[in-house]
Amino acid sequence: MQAQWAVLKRDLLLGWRGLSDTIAGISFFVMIIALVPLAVGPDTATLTVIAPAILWIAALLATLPQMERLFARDDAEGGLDHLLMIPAPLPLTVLTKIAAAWLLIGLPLTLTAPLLGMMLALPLAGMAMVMLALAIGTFGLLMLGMIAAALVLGARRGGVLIAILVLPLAMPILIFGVATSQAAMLGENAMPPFQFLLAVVLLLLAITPWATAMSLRHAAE
Amino acid sequence: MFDYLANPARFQRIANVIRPLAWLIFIITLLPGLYYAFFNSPADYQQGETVRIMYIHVPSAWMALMGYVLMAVMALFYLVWKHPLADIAARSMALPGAAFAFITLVTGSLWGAPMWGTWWVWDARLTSMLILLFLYIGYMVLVDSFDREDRGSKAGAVLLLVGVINIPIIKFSVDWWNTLHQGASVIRVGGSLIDASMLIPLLLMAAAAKWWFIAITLIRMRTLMGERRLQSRLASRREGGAHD
Repeated sequence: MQAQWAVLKRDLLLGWRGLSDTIAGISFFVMIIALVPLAVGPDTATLTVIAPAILWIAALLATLPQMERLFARDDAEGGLDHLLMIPAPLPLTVLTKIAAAWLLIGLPLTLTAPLLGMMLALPLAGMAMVMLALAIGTFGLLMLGMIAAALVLGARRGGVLIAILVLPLAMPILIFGVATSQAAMLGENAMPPFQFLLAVVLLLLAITPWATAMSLRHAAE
Repeated sequence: MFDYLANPARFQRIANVIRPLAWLIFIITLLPGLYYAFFNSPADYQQGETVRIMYIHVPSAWMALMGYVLMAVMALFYLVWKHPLADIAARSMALPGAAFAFITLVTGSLWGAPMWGTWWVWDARLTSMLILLFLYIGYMVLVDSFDREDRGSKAGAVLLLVGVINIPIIKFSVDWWNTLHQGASVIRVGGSLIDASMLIPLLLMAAAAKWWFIAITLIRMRTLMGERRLQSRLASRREGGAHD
């Protein structure tokens, strides 16, 4: 437990020190969302219809560049070996890193969603559900990113590779996340797609720590 | 048995026997399959002659799925039992499997346009098959992105195992969701629903696809094993030269 706490604090501290990275991520999120009304036109009826989709695509695209730095700095500075030497099981350490990454990347995205929803004429009704779905969805996306980042350690053009690996596997999260947001927005029952979203993320939770740990061990050889 | 096949030379000797046999069985099943498919089977009462796309579309889909499952099994052999030929097998099966997945999507699209009025629809079956194609492509890109071949093989193996969840999703997508794609008619609880006049050509074409896959995979494996031998010979020659 001590070790996990230390890993968490270290990751959060590094994130806080490198706040410009986090702010860059949120700015990218805001940029994408700002571009859409400019391209689609100011008609609020159209915007309301596509708002959930844009929100989710922007969240996906904004987290993609951040995934590379999940492990890159550790690998470059030799911190990877330290991670492997922690007496706790490596999957648990990976879980802690995912939690830290979500606090640094997923949470700011979730919290800025209502503000950005205004830009997209997203009605405030059901906003709580949209934020909950975004919170869980970004958690799932980050888990996918963590697997991909561990897989491409030491590969050429790792950033592009991460995108190629993550985007197909992120499709279910996108589909069910948008469905949940749309249902919440229209005041309908958002539970069916939300439960699917939850199922997908739970499945990822079952796979990610062990897949990532295996990849990290391979990378350290 | 798999330990027995771990020796590359022994594997190659056995493969040299199986490969021409595979081509033979491919021809033997392809020719009557094509004949029955295009000339000697009934046209559908609703779809007419265009139903014959099924004889290409369904075997390709079956092979795309089987290819991925075999690759995932190879990945397991490689990661868990460190079988020396498992990663070569997985790399060899990637391109044929991806080709079948691509053919499935294209023939499905060509079938859908006249029949169901749309080239594409984002239902569960089509979307999950598209994800399968992307997984194939992602695997092929990933394994070749590393300077060390074994790193690439290990990374690819992990990717294959992570993506294997897609296979049951593809298979059961037509049961779990309301899709445009029709439900299971051949491999289902309660036996197949297709009449023998259509089932026989379908199974013949499926067998032809499978034995083509086996023949092509063995050829590709021979190539990759040869490349590996070449690399190690070159490396040892460099070592030997350095000691002069």
